[in-house]
Amino acid sequence: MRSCRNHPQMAAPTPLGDTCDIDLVRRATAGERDAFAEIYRRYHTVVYRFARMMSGSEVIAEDVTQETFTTLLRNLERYIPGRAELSTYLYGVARNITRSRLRRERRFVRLHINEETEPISTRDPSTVLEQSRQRRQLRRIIAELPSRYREVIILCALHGLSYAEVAMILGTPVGTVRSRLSRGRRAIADRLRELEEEPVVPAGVTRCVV
Amino acid sequence: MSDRTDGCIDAALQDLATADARAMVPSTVKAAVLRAWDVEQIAGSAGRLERNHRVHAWRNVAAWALVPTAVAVGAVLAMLTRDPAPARNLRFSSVRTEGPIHVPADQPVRSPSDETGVPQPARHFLTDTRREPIESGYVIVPEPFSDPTALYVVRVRMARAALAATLGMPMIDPDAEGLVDVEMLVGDDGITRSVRSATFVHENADQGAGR
Repeated sequence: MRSCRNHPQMAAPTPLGDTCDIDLVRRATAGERDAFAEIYRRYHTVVYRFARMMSGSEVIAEDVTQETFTTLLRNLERYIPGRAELSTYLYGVARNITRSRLRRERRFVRLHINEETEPISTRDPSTVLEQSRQRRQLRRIIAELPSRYREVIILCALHGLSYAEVAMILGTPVGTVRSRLSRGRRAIADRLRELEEEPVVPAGVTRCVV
Repeated sequence: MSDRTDGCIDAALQDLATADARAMVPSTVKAAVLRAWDVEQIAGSAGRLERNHRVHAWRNVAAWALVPTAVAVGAVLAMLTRDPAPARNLRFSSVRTEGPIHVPADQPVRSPSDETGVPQPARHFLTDTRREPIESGYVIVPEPFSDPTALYVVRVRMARAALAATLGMPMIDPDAEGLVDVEMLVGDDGITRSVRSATFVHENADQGAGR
C-alpha cells in the first residue's frame, strides 16, 4: 500500500504532510478540520485534473472536485483503508460523479479549457505556439474518445498510475486496462493522422461519448 | 502503430501531462469544501445531540411505563404469595362468622332502651372481643350494610298491624290484633336497615313480665 507516503503529484508538504492517509482519515473522522484540509490539499489537484480532462470543462471540473470531497467528508466513516488507497477511492468517486454529470448534460460539452500560462521561457515563440496548438489538439482528441478509453488514457498516460491502480479504480481486470489503453492510443494516433491531413481544425462543440 | 508513432504520442501525452500539472484549482472550491465540512460538523453535532435527546426521552418513557408496571406486578405477587394468617388484620376481620344471634322467644327481651327510653347500641354485638373470631380465608362483606360500625340492635314492641305498615314486613294476617317484639338493626341516621326477628307477644307472658 502507498497510503502512508505522499502521492507523487500532490502539492507541497504542510505541518501534517508527514502524516499518512490512514491517520489523516482517522483524525478527520474524529472531527479534526486540519486533517481534512490536508487531505484536500493532497488530492484536490489530481481530482480536478482528472475531472477536467474527462469533461473538457473547467466549470464541471470545479463542481466535480467540490462534490467529490463533499462526498468524502460525508462518508469518512465508511471509508475502509484496507480496501483501497485514499487516492483510488477519490478517483473512483470523481469518475462516478463526472460520468453522472456528463450523462446529465446530454453527452455534449463544450471545451472551455484555457491553456495554462506558460512559464517564462527563452524558447522560440513559434515553438511555444506550436506546442500549445498541439496540446489543444490532443485535448480535443482525448475528449472525443469513448469514455472507457478516455479514462484509461488520462489515468495511465497523464496521471502516471499503474495498471493495477487503474484496474482498481475502474473495477476491471488489469488485462482490460491494458487493452483499453492500447486501443485508446491507437485511436489517438489515427485521429492525429487524420488531423494532419486536414488543414484546419475548427473549435466548437465536441461530442463526448460516455 | 509504429514505434515512431508511439514515440510521438508518448511525447505529446508527456507534454500534455506537464502542462496539465500546472492546472490551478480556484480557491473558491477549497473554501466551498471546507465550508461544507463545517456545516457537516455542526449538523453532525446537532444530530448527535438530537440522538442523545431522543435516547433520553425514550428512557424517560420507559421508566414511566416500567415503574408502575413493576409496582403492580409486585403487588399482585405479594397478594398471591401472602400467608392467609394475616387475614385477621383485614378491615372486616372482627366480624364474627359463627352465626346470627338468636333471641329466644320465651325469654323477656330487654332492650337497652328500656331504662332510658333512648335506643342504645347493642355493644355486645359489635364490640365483644371476648371470643376470638373464627379464622377464615374469606373477606366477609356485610351486605347490604355499607358501614357495620354504625349499626345498632334495637328491640321494640309494636302492634302487629304496624309491623307491616311501618317496616314493610309481609304478614300472613296483617289485620290481626296483638303485639310483636321486633329486633331491628338501626343505623346512626335512625333508619332501619333490617329486621332481625319478630316475635309474637303472648298475653300471659307479657303480663307475667310486668309489661
